[in-house]
Amino acid sequence: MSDPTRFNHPIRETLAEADVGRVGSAVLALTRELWVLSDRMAVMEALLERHGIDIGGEIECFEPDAQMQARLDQRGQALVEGILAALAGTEGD
Amino acid sequence: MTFRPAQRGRASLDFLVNLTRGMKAVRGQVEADLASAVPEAGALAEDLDQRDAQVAGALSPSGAWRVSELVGEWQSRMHGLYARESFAEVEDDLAPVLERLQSKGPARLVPRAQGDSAPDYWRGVNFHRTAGGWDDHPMQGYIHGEIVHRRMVEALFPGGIFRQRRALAASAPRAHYRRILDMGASTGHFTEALQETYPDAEIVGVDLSLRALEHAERVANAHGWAWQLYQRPAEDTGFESESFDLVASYILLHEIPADVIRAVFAEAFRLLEPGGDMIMSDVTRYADMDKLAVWRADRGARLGGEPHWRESASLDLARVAREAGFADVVAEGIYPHVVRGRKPQ
Ligand SMILES: C[S@@+](CC[C@H](N)C(=O)[O-])C[C@H]1O[C@@H](n2cnc3c(N)ncnc32)[C@H](O)[C@@H]1O
Repeated sequence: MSDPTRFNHPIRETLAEADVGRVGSAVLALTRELWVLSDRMAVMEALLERHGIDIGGEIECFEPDAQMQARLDQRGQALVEGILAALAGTEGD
Repeated sequence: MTFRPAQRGRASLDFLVNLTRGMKAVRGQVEADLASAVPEAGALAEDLDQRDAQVAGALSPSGAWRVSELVGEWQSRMHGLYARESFAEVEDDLAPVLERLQSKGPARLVPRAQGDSAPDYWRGVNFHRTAGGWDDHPMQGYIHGEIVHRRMVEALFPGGIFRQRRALAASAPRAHYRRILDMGASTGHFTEALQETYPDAEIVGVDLSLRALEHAERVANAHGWAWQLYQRPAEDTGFESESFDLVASYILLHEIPADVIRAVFAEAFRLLEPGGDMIMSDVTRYADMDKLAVWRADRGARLGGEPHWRESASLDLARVAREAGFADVVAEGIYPHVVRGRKPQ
């Protein structure tokens, strides 16, 4: 038996130099998603404050119900698809 | 009809605008790198493709340049898609309003006759890199006019979309016109300036894009204006000879090839009554720029979905106007570059 620990860190080329521009695109697409989210959080916090609610603690231990989980899953998938499309250069196709 | 995006759309459009704003420092660095990479701009090649290869090659070691290329490319590809996406988010709420404005009101839209098709220089071209071109998305007119222009372009050039158009409309020699033709009316931004400047005139607009004209129709109906809009080429309108006293266009010409531009001026001449006025405006002439400025404009056009810009911006429009028969021709201004003339009595 050859040393099985050789399999611990296999060498695998993934993206090539030619993909770097695409990676940049993906970073920008990701930044936008982050911005949308930051904006939304800021709005949410402002609104809650206006209503005199401090929910920081509740957020920490929140457990989504099935319906909300499905909604989150759907959004998460759309996010991933957007980033992957940017990486592949297939947006709008 | 004002676009009120949902949170995601609003934040995304804000993001694009802020991305442009946030590029200021990078752009400054690119200028500095350009100055040292190309110290002798006068020695650059005359041939524009060669010049582009020279300058882009000299800039390639600049990190700022590479990032500006990345961001520019990404914005070109994404702005139209994000605009569409932000529209889709609120489409259900907007639909009844858009539907009513398109079907009720004094404006009239005549689509292209069945069997006619758009010219080769236009069909299938993704102008401004808009995915699918001007007519792909059923609501492209709204998306282009209200979202891309009124929201994104306006945020970067506040007042700019309308101020310049109004000034141009007001610069026509007479205080009153009876019948005005706007060539390349698109979603009606310049048409609006003409209407407001000459409230008593009958206003006619032509454009190749049905989607853009549909939005112009909504704009007209929203204001109670009786615009007559036709999906027809400016170079072959089919209108009666000598049936207008002003023929005008705002930033149409760079979207058509040189031979068609000549045909557009000839058509304007035919359509004007003797003594009638012509005002055409377009992008900066290459002849009015130095070699680096031309390089910038020409590269921007190539990467920005403007296949006819180079040959259009290389034309001497005063000469084209004179060749079409116009008298008292004057061409002046950097942006827009404006050519005026009169059909002799
Ligand atoms: C940059 S837009 C014009 C902008 C518009 N005048 C304004 O004030 O916003 C150019 C328009 O010209 C139209 N176009 C291109 N070639 C044309 C032609 N030969 N005849 C009529 N319209 C044309 C395009 O469909 C597009 O809507």
